[in-house]
Amino acid sequence: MKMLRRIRYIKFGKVFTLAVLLVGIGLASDLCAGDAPEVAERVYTAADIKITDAQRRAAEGFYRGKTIEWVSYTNPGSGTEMMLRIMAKYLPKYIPGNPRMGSVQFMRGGGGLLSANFLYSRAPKDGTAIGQISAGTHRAYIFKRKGVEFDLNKFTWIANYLPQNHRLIYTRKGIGVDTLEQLMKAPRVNMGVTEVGHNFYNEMRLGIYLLGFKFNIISGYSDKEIDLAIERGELDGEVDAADSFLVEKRHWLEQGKVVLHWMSEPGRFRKLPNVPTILELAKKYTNPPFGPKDLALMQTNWDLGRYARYLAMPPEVPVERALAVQEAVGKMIEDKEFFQEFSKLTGFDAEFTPGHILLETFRRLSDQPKENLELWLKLTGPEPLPKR
Amino acid sequence: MKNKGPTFFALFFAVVFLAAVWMARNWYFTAKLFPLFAGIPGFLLAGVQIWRELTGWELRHNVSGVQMDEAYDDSMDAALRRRRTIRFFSWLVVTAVAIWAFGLPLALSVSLALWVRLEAEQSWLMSLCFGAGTFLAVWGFFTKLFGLGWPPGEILRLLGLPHLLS
Amino acid sequence: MLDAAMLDAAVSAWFVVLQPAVFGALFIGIIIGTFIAIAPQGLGTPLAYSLLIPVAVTLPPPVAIALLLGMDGVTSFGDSFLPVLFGIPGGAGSQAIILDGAPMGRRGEARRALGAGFTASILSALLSVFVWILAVPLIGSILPLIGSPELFLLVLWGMSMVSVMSGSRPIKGLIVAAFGLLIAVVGMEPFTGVERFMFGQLYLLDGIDIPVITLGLFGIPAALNLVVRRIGKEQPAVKLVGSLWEGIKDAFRHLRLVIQSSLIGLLVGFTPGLGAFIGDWLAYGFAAQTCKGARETFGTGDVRGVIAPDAANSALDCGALIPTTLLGVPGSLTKAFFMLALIMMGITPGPDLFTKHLELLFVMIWVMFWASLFGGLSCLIFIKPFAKIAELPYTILTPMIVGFGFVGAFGTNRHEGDLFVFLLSGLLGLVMMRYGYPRAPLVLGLILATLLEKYLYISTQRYGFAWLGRPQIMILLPLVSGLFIYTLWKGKQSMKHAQEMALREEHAADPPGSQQGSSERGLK
Repeated sequence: MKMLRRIRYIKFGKVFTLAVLLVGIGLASDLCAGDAPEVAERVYTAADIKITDAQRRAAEGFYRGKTIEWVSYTNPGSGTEMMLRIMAKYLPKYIPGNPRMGSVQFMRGGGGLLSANFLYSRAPKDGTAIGQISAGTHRAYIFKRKGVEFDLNKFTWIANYLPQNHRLIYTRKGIGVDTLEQLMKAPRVNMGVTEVGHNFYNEMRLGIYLLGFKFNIISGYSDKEIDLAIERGELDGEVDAADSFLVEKRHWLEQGKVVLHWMSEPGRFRKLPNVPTILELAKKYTNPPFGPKDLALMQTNWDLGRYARYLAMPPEVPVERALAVQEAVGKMIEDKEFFQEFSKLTGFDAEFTPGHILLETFRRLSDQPKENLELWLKLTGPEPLPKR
Repeated sequence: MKNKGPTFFALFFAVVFLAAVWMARNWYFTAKLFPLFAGIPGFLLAGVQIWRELTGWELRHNVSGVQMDEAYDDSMDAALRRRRTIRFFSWLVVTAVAIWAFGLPLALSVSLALWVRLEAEQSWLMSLCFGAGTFLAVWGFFTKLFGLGWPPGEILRLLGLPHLLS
Repeated sequence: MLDAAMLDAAVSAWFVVLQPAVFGALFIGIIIGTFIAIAPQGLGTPLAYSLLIPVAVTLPPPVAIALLLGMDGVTSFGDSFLPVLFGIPGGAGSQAIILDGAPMGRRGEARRALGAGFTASILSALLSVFVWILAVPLIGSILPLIGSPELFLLVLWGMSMVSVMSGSRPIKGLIVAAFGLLIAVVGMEPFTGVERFMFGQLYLLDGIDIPVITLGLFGIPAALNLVVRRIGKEQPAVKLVGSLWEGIKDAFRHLRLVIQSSLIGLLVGFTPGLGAFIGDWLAYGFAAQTCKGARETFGTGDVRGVIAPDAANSALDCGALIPTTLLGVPGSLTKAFFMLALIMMGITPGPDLFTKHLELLFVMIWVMFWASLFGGLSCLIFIKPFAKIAELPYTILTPMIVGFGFVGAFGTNRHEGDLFVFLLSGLLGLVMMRYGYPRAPLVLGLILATLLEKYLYISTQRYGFAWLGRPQIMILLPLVSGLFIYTLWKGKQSMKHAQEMALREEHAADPPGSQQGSSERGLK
């Protein structure tokens, strides 16, 4: 009996030791590779909206017979207008009371601030106005740009329906930068972008700042011109949204014409699992070593570049109406028919991020230390970067 | 001074170019390149034109030939032309203000109807038809047919009627 | 030669154009273009573009293209109405038509003049479409050689248009072109993020929209002209007599002249910047030199003096589309508007159009083919009712122009700032006309400035100044310089010749003993 107990204790001890060793190895490898080598992408749904039945009924009572007007920061005929038209087709059936979708008021100008200002102070606050806010608007607010007449935290945030994460940086093959080491040693790599301050521009500047790449960033191209310029050798590479790269330039990948260097988000992209992230590279290669300030800068960059299309209502919209519309947007995106039509006509996959997540992001950004925001501002500007 | 109007117009250009060059002086090289590229030669050329106007050079050299733009009709009585021009521009300005105040569909329709009646001296029926037709075309075509709404006029918005006829 | 992909694109585009929505838009465009062409002075194609673009860009690209090119392709046909019927210029390419068209109209041979002119226009337009198709595969082989430095040079070549558009006032033309360049840089600069000339106005962050400026610059003076002169009430139209069929036969009788003038028009249209203003004068002058007995009869009502500029004008229109679509360089002012519309639809003319939107390119070609055919035929068939539109009084036309103007100006951004720009541009246009400043160079400066700045910046960022040593540049630069000088010289020649012709006409019209010169007749 004593013998049997001893054997059990030894077995248990071995198993326990093995388990501890395995956990230890796992932890150690985590520390070496980064804080979040693979962050599972959080997918939000309409179920994440905490709305009660009573609130739904109250919203239904209000919206029955009403017309919802859209406010957009773009021009008629733009890709964004296409997105709005598709949403206008599907959204009413998910909003309790099935209101009518009215006309779109286009208010282009001011980098999106004109329409944001209008939505904030001049649009009706009863829940009958939904505005499309540009991604640059929160930047303008956080950096206290002249012309901002709103408090970002007081908008009634509905959702973001188009993510802009997973930026991919790549170069064409055969120019001597086929590996990361070669890229780091290359004296000059000509990279194209549309404009200074664009997310893609910021991504390249981050690479210069953290890893010392010698990118010659040439702005002013349109999207299509960059592709042509790469094909004729005028440019060596660019940053592109990974999803659209895989759709539009998959043949380059398959023909071995390009080299993928890194992705922007903290976790690896499930469609390109072999491509490292900038976080991994920064932890491995930066000199001086990667530190909390660098991570804070990266976090700011992620937060400011994560979302592409916000939907919001003016401040002080009654809670039940805001929640009802949020839930409706979530359900709409889950609608297979909507998803397919949206994807087909726009080339993008819609993705739901509820308003309260957006608000958390904006608050996190607003609470950044001043020096971090200033550093990020320099990163996204045209001046030479400071030394780390 | 001879040719007061043309001289002042040339002076206007000279001032604009000079101001542009001055404002651009501290910008990044790429940002100031074009303003300087346009402003410096523009200022010099405007200077030449001012000199030409002051000295009556163009009249002396009988500049005519291919015009490359519509020729200005000098045959009318100057006072009558000025009067009609001022009335017309005043109407345009009032229409613009009305659009800001009441929104485009309403303001434009009423403005055109009133012009047809008061300036063009047509019948009330004609002017009402014109106004109704304009409203139908603008509101019906843009707002109803294409769903392209117009911003509400400020006055209507303040009165709590933002969706009225926009 | 056309390869399989191009043939494929050409065939599928043919069927796209035949779709009801596209063909319907084409007809609407033809109707609008005809109206624009035959309405009184000032309602030109630039105004029509300014009004149609905000609407057209909301439509699917083939439909939008059919609407815009249907309108544009027809305006050159209807240009003859006003010179023949009213004795005043209609569109940009109809000045030379006055010299022989007006005397024919005064003699009662308006139908013959119009018939000859329209038939010549149809023939030359169809020839031009054929040339455009031939140009497509040839352009494809040189595309890889065209980089940002080459595009900069081509756009610079387009800027040489300023000298031509300035006519007899090069200094004034250059001043307004420089002014246009300045207006174009208002807003945030994309290369450094610097805010230029914004004066703290958020509205100006994205720059000033060109359609708003051109609407004011051309539309307001046009409407004002009607109001001030009371057009339609104080100038009666010519009564239409004479044989249309005789005019049609005239065009076929002088087929060599039609082809000759078409080739001149094509060449002028293909050269960015020469535009409609010079094409008809060159064709007219060349016809006067080469046609038998022309020196004696031109200027007195010779039908050949109507055929030559009409044919050139039509061919020029199509010829201008070749560099616009295939190289991304506008061949004329109106084609710069068309280019703007394409860009607003997300289609970059030039190499991008050729490689990524080949079918759309052939849609444009076929649209021009049908617009030329139907536009010309409808002008022939409907000469009498069309002429009546030109007789509309200012009481109807003015509010229509003003209505369209405000809708077009306000509709772009729905911001009151645009109304202010619209009115200010109108005032500027009026003062420019008053003091003899041509408006076209200002618009050219506006349209080409951003392209110039962009390609210059990209070229120097990418290559430093080494781009000047590229083989393509070393071939193009002397060519461009040479063409520029040739343009200036030819322009001067044609102006000289045209002035001589105008003086001859003046002396023929003046009563005996009168010594009036052109300056005294108010020409500035």
